[in-house]
Amino acid sequence: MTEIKRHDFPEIDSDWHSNAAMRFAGPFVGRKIQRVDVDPILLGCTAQWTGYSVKDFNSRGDLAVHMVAYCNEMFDLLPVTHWFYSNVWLEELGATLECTKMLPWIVVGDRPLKDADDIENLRIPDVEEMDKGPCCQRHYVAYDYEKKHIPNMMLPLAHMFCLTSMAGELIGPEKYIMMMYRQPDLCHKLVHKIAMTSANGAIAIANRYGFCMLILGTVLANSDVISPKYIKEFHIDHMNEYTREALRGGGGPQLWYHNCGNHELDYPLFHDVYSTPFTVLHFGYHGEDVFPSETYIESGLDRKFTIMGSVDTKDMWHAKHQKIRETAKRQIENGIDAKRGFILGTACETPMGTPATAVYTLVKAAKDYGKYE
Amino acid sequence: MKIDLSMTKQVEKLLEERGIKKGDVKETIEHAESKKRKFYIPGEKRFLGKKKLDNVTMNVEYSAGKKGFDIITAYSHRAELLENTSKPMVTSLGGKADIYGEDMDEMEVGGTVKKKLGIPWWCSKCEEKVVPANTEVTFMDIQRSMYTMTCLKCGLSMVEEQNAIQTLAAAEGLLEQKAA
Repeated sequence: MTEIKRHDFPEIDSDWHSNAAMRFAGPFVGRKIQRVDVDPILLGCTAQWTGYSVKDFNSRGDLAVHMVAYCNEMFDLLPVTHWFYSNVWLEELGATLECTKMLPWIVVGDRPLKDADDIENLRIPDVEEMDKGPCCQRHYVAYDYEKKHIPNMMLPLAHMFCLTSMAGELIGPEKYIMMMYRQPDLCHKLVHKIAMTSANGAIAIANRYGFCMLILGTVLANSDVISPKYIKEFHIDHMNEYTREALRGGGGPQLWYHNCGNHELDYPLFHDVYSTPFTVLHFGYHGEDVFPSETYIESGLDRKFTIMGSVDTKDMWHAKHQKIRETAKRQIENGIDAKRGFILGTACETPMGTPATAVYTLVKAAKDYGKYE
Repeated sequence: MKIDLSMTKQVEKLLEERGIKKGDVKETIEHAESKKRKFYIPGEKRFLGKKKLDNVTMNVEYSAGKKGFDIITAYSHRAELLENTSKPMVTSLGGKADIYGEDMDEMEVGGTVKKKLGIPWWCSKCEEKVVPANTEVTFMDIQRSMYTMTCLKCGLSMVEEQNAIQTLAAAEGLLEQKAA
């Protein structure tokens, strides 16, 4: 791999970084340090604030991680950087991806799987193949850059976007959902293969860097689309299969369950997912409202995980400053006493086009209402 | 109880790399055998025992040979498992709600795909299948939750080797750093 030169960002302020690192550690070591930490999941939106295009962000991981790192410092967010996109590991299973002017790596062309035979014949690539595959290589550009130029903020990630969404991308979402009802065995087989492929990808990343945070998404598998019974059977159980395999292969120790969408009916299923000492649980919505912090606590999920409260991404995009502040206040007040710590976030990534003032408002709310005694 | 150990050069090297003393291995086996604090694989004479020794928990996987105990592997972790805090994980795979691990080793999905969720171990004391669970762990006065293999009847919990030497070891290191 050719060496990637450092991009034109000033050095990260070391005083800021040590302070942010201390605060970030708080929930995981059982200490309340300074104030509630904030993670608005900055991704492509950082391009607009740093003078680049969205395509620069999505197609150049090395540049993207520096954009996020610098914005994290600017807004006093987390001391680590990140870069990821949704359609991970699909190229290794036959899909073609394209990075467009405005969209990250989207699936283009025909669906790679058309029928039962295609699922039967689908091969799970091994760790070595995954290591050489396009998804790992794309992420290595970002993580190698972090390692070389912003090592204090380095956090290699293995993203498993959402098993249900990934299956939908490979065979078509309508076909996949019908399969759950009509051909459950075939459905299990497909999701199993996706889970094992993703686990091999995570192991490849962990082999290269010594560890990798596992991001486990539950997106299409949400209460608006699929019943909890089916989410459990076709999504959560295979997600557990993935986690166990990835942990066994050296992934982790950090896990982040990032569940966008409405989880008002299926959130109790997360009592039955794997945990490590560094596990964060995050739900976007509960019905049409953001997922309330008190529901994590009432259901006891806060006794197992560090929980992440959400502010509506629509409010971020529309820069409804008062509403952002009010929601943040409510979420902090109801979540600050969570047994394993609380982080304030947004329901999903901060959308492209979000004004910077929305992020500023969110952080200010954490400073005003989330101070620890 | 007299414990005679045998091991291959490869295992001896592994123990040396991990800083594990033969005396600790013996002590762990003695404890596992005398108290029946061990898991076993039916029909294989293969066991996994553990013992808390000072600041570490030692795990030894061994088989009973004609002249003593053949060591397969040994590993340790510093975080302490709080037994009897384990919560089993429930699955619905195959359409019936069940605890992960029950019959999972034999379960086939879609006719050909073997599930990998199963744990091969059984509890020697209780004759119960060992299942995956989340168990509370403490390290440096910090209490968190961790995936373990557990006998739900007596509460005996152990961490799989790879999870002990990678996940838990990394977590211990990070907790030390962060707590500092």
